[in-house]
Amino acid sequence: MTRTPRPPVIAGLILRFWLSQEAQESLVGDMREEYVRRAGSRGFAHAWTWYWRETLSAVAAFGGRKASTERLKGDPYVRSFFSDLRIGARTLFSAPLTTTLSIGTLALGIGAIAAVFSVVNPILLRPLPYPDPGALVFVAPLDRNNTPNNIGFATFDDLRRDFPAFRESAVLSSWQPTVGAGNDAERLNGQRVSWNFFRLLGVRPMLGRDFVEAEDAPGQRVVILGHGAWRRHFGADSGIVGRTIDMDGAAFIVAGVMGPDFQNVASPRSEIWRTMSYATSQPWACRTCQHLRMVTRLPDGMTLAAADAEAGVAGQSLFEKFPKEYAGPGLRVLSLKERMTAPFKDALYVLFGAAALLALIATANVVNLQLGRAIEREGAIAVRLMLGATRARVARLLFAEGMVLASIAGVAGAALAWVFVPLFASRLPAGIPRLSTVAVDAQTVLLLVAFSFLVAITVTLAPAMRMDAGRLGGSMRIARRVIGHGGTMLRRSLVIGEVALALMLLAAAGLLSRSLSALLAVDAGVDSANLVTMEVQSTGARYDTREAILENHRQIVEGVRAVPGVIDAGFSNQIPLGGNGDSYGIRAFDKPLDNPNRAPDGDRYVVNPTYFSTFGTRVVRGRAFTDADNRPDAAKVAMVSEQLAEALWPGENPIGKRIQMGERDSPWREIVGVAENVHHRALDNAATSQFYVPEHQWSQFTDNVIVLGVRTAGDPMQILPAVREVIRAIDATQPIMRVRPMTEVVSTSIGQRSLALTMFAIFAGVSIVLAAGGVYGVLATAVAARSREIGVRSALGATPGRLLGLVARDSAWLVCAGVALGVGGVLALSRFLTALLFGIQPNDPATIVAVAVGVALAAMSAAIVPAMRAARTDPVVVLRGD
Amino acid sequence: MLGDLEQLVLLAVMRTGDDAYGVRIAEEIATHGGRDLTFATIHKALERLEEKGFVRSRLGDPTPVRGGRAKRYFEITAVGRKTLRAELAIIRNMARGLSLGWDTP
Repeated sequence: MTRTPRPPVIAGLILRFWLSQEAQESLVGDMREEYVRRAGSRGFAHAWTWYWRETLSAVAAFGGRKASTERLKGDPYVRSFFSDLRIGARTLFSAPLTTTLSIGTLALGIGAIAAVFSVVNPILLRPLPYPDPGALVFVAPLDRNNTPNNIGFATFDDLRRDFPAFRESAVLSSWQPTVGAGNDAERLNGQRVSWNFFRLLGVRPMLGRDFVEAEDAPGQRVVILGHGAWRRHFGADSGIVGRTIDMDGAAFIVAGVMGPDFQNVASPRSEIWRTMSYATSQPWACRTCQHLRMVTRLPDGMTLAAADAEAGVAGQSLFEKFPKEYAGPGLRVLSLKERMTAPFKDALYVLFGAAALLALIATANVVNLQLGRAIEREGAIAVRLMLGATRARVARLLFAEGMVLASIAGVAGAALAWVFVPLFASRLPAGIPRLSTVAVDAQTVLLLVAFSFLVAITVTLAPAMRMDAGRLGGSMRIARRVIGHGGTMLRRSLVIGEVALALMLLAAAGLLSRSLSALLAVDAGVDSANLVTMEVQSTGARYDTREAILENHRQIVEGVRAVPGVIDAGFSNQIPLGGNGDSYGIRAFDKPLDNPNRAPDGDRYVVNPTYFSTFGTRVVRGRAFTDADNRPDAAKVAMVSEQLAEALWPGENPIGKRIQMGERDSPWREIVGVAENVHHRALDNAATSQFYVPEHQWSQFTDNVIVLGVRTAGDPMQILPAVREVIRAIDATQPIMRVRPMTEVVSTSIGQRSLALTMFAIFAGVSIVLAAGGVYGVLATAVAARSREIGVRSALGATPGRLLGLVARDSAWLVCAGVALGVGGVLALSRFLTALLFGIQPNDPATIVAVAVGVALAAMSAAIVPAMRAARTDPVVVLRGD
Repeated sequence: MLGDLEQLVLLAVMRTGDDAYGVRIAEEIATHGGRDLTFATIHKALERLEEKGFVRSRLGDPTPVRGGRAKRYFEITAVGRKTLRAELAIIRNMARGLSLGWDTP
């Protein structure tokens, strides 16, 4: 037998579903015969298109006209259910406006919940993408405020050697090498990791090999590339393995390349790794050199609690052995997953809650719309019941209708989610782990199906419950005169609920928006307007001496300051609000501590003298550095932030006091000035403490990457090309990286909140429209139902004003009840927002009152049209209708 | 009265004779009438014609190329023939004498 080409399967199913047995036999037979002929003579693509055109035409001509139930063979229940679906679809589309509204509304709700779920699910809910992820933990010593801190290498070394629970451990630190040169240079985000890091996670490189233990020794320069960096900088060349690459003026051997699906939850943005290569003999590997994070894979079967207990014992014994090296005995074990998701958890869950509220409002609205229709159709349902249909049969018919409605809305909602999720994900802060895996996936679809099913049941339930043969018989007798009375209570309750839910969402949006303005009003300690920042690196052989680097920095500042339009230029070793953990313990000469590790920390800012005027950090006491300070042989000076001054010398004048930072043999420096506090971690974090040292006096090491700030008279981005040119003229090979206006740095630091606000604002906007629509729907039906009564009143002499009042009273009752309930809801639930709020209480009265008034006004305005209609009622027209 | 489409289909049924089923009818209309109609349109017209009693149909044997579906053969009835003739006569009568201006638009 020769194989005949088969026409499109889906078209076949559609035809089967929509066409009667009779039409199928001859028509579909003809179509098929012609399809085979056309596929043979004119090609498959032509035949395919042709068949689809024929199918659509057939459905248009014959579809759904014949309610034949015989054609679906098999279980009679299934058969009649399919026919129910068709009847349902037809009934729905006989009321296109209500149906379109219902579908649109539901699609919005479903889309919102699907979108948020597809973000929340991979980030918060799914297990980490490693074998036995539950055994992966962070081990962290507690600092003097009992918060988990980084760990020193020597401590890690003791833990893995002496305590069986921590035998399989690795440490990580951040590392940012520059690859490429000149214009193509990029400063990569990377990590230094213990040689067994990947093995411990349970992952292997895609190309090449993993690190080996010998490569973790001091002096070793071996890297594993991330997939992204490999593609961007090495053209996805698989021959790279085993070769040597130059980074920061040193040669590194490439051991391997990680696959594209490797997700590094401990540092999501990292795309290059080198071995730690520490030894306990090195000065930066000490116990107090707390700049590492420690990851452990717990032994089989050990619980988190057991590990934490063992950590407690270990911490105690270390503290007893080295009482001056630790702030205290505290040592904690923290679940890797929880630790990674903690910063985003609240925001994402709250968003999910908001989406759920929106979906709830949408469902209520649709139930409302459908209930309105069910009441209109009461006569038809009564006829069915009278003719002997069981209640179950009629309920099934209604359910089928709900299913059709919910499925179409589900598909539309999924489409919405599919469009908006990538958009949404692209706006999430880049530091969120596993952001790349955010997508509308099978689990989301499953949720959609479940949710649609629930909606179908909900939408059906209300009308179905109202079926009562006796009562419906009554409603049949008096025909349609009294429509609108039945179900009124339910519909009104639904509208009250909608108003309440909309108010809750709006209140949340209001609170978030006030938080955001409060945040933006926070004095970051930097004047971000007209300020652009960039990283410039002195790299290559010509910068192998400290003097060369310092001279380069000096020339850059001098050159950039001379660019027309530039007001000032200055630099520091790190960017304010960047949140780098480059901090040192600060000891005051006149306040010696028993345990030096209980000294307050300060962020290290090694700056040039023009730093303060460029970045707009005010000097509140004393003076800023001068050129005279910025010399290696000048008297050792420092500046501190207000907060650090207050911590070291409460109530005293810090000018002239002496401090020492870091190692105990480092020089004592005299404080010459106090600067305002900088919100180094982020705007919403409490200000941290800073200390400032002139660049030429910081002799421990030389920062070859500086963050250059350029303050301009106008838009800094306009002057940028001239600035770049000046820097290139000094040395064309030095990379200029991460060029960002300071305003962008600020907005990134509040990204999570502004995203939450945007989402809430959208959800709240949609919800208030839906709620107003609900109010309108109920009142419009009510007015229509009472038109006779209103006509009689009007005939008896009621003025339009009084009639208006009649309807307005009705709506005022609905709205007030809704607002009251909503305010109650806000008071009960707004505490879940606390983590996202800033400078405002979750039950802030001003916000709640403003939102309540706004919601009341919006809802009342929805009542205007029906009220006006009532007021204009012409008694003659209405009464003639009888 | 017959619609324009119905005339076309009826004529095609007559022209195809014993072989008057969907595919052949469509082919006939396409080659001689120059009109590319979908099967649904043709079957719709045939359904109307059958309701009016102008054609009758019978099912043939199922064939594999049709996915096991039978052909429906159509045949013009006496009434159909008479009506069609009358319709075409009307057209001819109406068109007669217009031949002078026939070719100029």
